[in-house]
Amino acid sequence: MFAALLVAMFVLTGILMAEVYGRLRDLSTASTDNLQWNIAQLEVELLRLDAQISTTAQQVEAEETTPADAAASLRTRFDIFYSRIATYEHGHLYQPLWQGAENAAILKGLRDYLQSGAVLVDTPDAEFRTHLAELGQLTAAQKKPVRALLLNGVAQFAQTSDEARAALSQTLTRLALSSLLLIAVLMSLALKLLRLLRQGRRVAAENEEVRASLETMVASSLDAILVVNRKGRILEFNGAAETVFGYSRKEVLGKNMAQKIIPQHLRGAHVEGMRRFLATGEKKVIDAGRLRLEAMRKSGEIFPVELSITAAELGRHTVFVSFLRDITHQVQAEADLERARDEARAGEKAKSDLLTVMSHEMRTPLNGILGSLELLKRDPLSERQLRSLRAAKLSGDLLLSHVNDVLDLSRFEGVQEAAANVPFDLPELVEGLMTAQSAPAKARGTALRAQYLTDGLTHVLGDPAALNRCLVNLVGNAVKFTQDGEILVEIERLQDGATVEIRVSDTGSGIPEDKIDSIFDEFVTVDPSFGRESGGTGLGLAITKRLVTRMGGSIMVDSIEGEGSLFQITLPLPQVEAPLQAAEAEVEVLEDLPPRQVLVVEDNEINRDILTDMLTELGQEVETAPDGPTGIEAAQTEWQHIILMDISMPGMDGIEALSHMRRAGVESPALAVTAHASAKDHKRILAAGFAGIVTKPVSLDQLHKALSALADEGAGGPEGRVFETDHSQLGRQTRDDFVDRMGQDKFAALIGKFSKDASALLTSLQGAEALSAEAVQEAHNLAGMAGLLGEADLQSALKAIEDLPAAQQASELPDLVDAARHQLEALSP
Amino acid sequence: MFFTTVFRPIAVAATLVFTLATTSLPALAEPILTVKSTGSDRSIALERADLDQLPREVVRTRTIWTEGLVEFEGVSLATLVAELGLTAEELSFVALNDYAVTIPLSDAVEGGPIIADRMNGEPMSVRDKGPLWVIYPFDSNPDYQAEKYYARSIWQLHRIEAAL
Repeated sequence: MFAALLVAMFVLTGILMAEVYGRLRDLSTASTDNLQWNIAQLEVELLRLDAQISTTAQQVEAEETTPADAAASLRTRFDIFYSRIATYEHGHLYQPLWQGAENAAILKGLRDYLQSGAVLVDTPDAEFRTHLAELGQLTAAQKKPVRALLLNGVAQFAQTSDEARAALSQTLTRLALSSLLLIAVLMSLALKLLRLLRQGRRVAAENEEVRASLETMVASSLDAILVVNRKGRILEFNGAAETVFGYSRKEVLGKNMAQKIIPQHLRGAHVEGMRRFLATGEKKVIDAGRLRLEAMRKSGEIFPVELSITAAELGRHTVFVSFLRDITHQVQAEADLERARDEARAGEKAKSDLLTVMSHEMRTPLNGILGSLELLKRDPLSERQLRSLRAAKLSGDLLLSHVNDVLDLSRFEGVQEAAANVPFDLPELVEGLMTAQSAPAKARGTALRAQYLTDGLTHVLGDPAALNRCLVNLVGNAVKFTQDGEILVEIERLQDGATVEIRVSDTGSGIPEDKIDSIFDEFVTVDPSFGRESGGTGLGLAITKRLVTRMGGSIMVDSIEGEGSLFQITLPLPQVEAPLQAAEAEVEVLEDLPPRQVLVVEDNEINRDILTDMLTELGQEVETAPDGPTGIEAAQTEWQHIILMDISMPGMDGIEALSHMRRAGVESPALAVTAHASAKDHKRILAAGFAGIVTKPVSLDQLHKALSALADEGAGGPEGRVFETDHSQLGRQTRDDFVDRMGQDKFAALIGKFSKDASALLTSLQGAEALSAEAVQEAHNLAGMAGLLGEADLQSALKAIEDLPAAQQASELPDLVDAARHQLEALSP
Repeated sequence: MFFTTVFRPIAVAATLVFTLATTSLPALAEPILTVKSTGSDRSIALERADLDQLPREVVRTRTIWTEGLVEFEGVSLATLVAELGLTAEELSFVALNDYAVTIPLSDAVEGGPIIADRMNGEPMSVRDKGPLWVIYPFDSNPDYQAEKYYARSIWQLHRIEAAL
């Protein structure tokens, strides 16, 4: 706008100036000559000619001059006048003069005059004087017209120059106006520029301030700051960067950043990354926040840095601003920490492993101690010795249960052992638990009950064994710590449909506030003294928590000391549609039995161990005797709740031993353990006074059922009950059970011993045609053991030898021996 | 403007013998230009033949007094000044009608004015502004198109007065 106006003003002024220049040039070139003067000269010269004519006439009259001289003078005058008229007539400057009709007439008159005058003047000298009078008249006649011409010319030329002056004046006025306007425009422009200049100065000052403070910030930054252009040249390098990299600012400004501070092995990636960013704008490192990379010092040392790179627009250029921090020390510290943590973990693991190994290794000698204590008890002891023995036994049993807890803990720690996922009936499981725990609860004057708050609990999918164990622990704890109170188990399916919440609350002693956070840790007992009294290792809740976690659930505790505790398990137990018959059978829920003393009379050492182990697991206190007479003695020495006796024993068999016991006044109910499977045998055994029969091989489940039956019905329960092992559950499962209980080492030792014994028997029978009584007994024992080891086929083969009638021995024995050997060879170690 | 007060015809006998003039000139030949010293009675009379002897120069130009392109021939002022050895700063040129004008010596330069005695090849009569006319080359040098030079373009020139 301003510019356009300005240009217009300049153009206008230029045009006017050109016009003025033109007019001035017209004036300066004076193409007009000195017109007024020249016109005036016309009259002067006419008058001078007229005067000359008069003078010449007088001189000629007076004869003062020669005719020639007179003629020459006059001719010159005439010629001068002639010349002037010719000049006026032909000079283009004078043409305007002749435009008026009056002046044209005057010119014509003058021309006529010159013509006739010239004729007169050019006459020879001699005749000259005769024409003087006529020439005088003609000349005088021109005075008036010339005067008129003069006046006209003066007026005309005056007007012309007036016009010229006026035009010039007008142009000058316009020029002045336009110049004034131009000046006004220029002044306002100047004002505007001045304002802009001031504004610019102010902005510059502000920018300078900002720049100075930014510079201070950059210089005083603790982080190294680098600014790099698109070509990778370093534009800025602050003080911290100098310290970090060892370069001075001067050394690196304008240099390629990659060559200076990027380690060789990262340069390729850097160049590629820059190329990609510039080509596609794709950012990987840029604007990615804090990154950890490596950088290189001047010395070539490579060190870890934390950096962030930002792309910024500087004017029209893209620059990269990098903030770097030397994290050598930080990385070192982190590495130290990591190492310390790993070492701590490894130490923890080693400790845990040691504990497991120790516990495992402790169990074998513990069994030995406990067995020895049993043996010791059979000797005649003083009352004091007996008390010490009982104390030793109690401590030994407690120790064994602790060791078992530790082993369980490490077993559940193994992540490889996934939770089972089978359908089961949750209320049934809980009811079983209620049944088992109601007796000890009642003993402490505590009411125990369960409440099912929602439906959809009967067919659920989960790990019943693990859940049972958890609930046993929780309810068992509640029973332990509650005296004359109430224990409530609430079960509820939550809104989401997949989760079940089980709450076990009691009105017992509660958990002190300082213990509540560590209640699920290993080896934590609320009160060490109480813990000891209650026989807890402090592992129950730890095991519970691990089991719950393994099942994908969570456990919480809330408690007020002196008022009670609330444990809450939340775990996924999705409902299942149709419960399968077969699946039902697999559900194994073992309820806790009331703890009682059980006397095991069994000649086979392995069987004795196994029975002891199973009974211990079922919460029973066990004493053992290796034969009938020892059993009878033990039964009389100690008051036994239950007697568990093998039928086939060398010397005195079970039936005979029991009759001795009964005669000696022992009234404890007795269960027979036998490999005899025939109904005739069972009848005979029951007739001898046994409350029930447990067939070999004995499974935990079967033993549990038998003992439960005794517990429910009290002494002298339903006679004639036979607890047979479900053979479909034998095999691997039994063997795994065995390994779990006894440990792999003991199991391997047993297998070894068994193989040796069996091999010896079969070798002795090689080529034999009849079986000795000892051989039949040995076959019987080995068959029982094979059953316990889960080797059902081998058991059958041995049993076939044992049961071979004497008549067929000669013909069939070799084949049976071969078959048994074949089975034995297939036995896995 | 400078005017000489009196114009006095100078007798041929009174003229000094001009070095360039041929002595064989007839006595009747009339001088067409008289160069007169202002400080003394000395004067130099030049005849048409004298001018013809000097280096000639031609100027073709338009003038404000004539029509169309005109060819003037004569002796350049520079040549004349050199030949006559004129040194005065100013020269006074006088015409038959007593018009007079002062021409500074500085005008006597190469490419400057000539003292024309012929127009379109013909000697000029008094009626044609003869016998001599100072002509500046107006066309070839526009600087001369100024009133001052128009005033110096004296016609019917017959005398130059200068301090000799």
